[in-house]
Amino acid sequence: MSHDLGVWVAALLTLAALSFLYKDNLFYRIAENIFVGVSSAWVFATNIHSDLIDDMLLKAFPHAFHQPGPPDLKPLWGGLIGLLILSRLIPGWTSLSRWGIAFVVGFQTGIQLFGAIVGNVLLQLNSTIVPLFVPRNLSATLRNGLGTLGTFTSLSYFYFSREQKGWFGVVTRLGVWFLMISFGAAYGSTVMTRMSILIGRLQFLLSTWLGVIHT
Amino acid sequence: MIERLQTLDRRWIFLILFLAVAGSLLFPHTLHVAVEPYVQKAYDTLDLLKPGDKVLMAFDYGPSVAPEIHPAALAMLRHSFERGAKVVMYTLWNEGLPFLDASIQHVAVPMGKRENIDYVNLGFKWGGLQGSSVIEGMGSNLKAVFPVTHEGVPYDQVPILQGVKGYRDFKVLIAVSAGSPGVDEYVRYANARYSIPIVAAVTRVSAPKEFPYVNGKQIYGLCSGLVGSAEYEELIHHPGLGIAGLFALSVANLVVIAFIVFGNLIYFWGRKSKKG
Repeated sequence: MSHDLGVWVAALLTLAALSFLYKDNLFYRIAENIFVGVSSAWVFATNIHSDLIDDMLLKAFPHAFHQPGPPDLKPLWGGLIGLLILSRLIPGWTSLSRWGIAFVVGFQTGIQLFGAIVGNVLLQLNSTIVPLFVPRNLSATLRNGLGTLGTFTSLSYFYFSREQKGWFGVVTRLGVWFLMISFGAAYGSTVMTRMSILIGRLQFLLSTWLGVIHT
Repeated sequence: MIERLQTLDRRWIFLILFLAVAGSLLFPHTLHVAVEPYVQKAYDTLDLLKPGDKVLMAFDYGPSVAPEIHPAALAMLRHSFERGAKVVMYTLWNEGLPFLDASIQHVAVPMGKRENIDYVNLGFKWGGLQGSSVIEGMGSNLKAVFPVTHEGVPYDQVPILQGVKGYRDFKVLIAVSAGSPGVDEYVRYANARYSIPIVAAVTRVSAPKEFPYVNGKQIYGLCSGLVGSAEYEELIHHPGLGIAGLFALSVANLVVIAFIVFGNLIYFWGRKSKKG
């Protein structure tokens, strides 16, 4: 059994969180509130350190942090934009925040446009164009054919300008089958993820805390 | 009888599942690990590393998914070091720092790797919910994004970072990722613009979303979930938490399947009884 106070706290909080599966209780509430408080504090502290200190103050005033190199005042512009956004909190100054938000939106759009078009559209389109018949490779032929069939039939289900009857109804029903199978696979993956989390917690309890197994 | 089964308290299911997983951890059984092609591709990509090659490694995950992908992070880091590569580590997730530190303690230190020479911890950088500006910025000016290491050493004084400007100075980017910012953003901003090869480890639930990127050769290899972690451990012949949890995962899945079948049988039995 562990002699580490931190491990004991983590183990007892784990048990308190799991106790919710029986029913809502005081120990679960305590664990829940500690989790929210600690995680909020952690996020706040790390963000302040990363954004405010490392990205702005350290670059603008390196000597104040005993760092070499000349001061770089450019990051202070970022701080100014941040202050503009915060001006929303001051009555009468709220319109200033639009400048900051406009800058952020424009900047993000500019950055994301290229990546979205190239990474998510062009390269993906390129990889979808595959030969339907691959000589001397039956598995590749089947895989490519099935992928093409699944793509067209699934998309056809979302074509609402024509009633889904007759031959078109058969195609859309096939598309629904493809969709259902993919949703089932996604659900199965979700179950596996949740089980893995339970296994991780139990490994911690049985190994790190109680020491009855060795991993 | 049938009504009692139809209204069975779900806490019995929780208890049985808990006992099944705990039992399989207490009485483990070694399973044969069959390696998926996606994991094999990830292994093959890292296996091509040569001594002195530089690798960028992102620990973009938190405690909620660590049991699934932290073993993969340890295995990939170990493999990179075994190939003689130098690893530059960082995280874009607030919760990623403890796992980055743990990886250094569990892999780099026991292997005798030297800080700032064989590896460096650049720490955490907040890049917004998508991290796009940070990921984009790292491509052209890594120093501007990480002016100092996590220990506060200036970028220019770190031997491993000498001559490193951006993605093009790295052989591969290992993205251990549980969401956003993560693999999707690296594909869009790092691979699409700078063509850096990406090897990823993701949660099982997000894996179906990433498979098209592997098929499109935007990701070179993919480990998904605890199973992927176990497979990578098998490939490097270093069993860890992944393989240790594989038997428990199989038992848990069998219990879930059994309950699904049982629930359906009860449902149809109940419907038949009503009709009768």
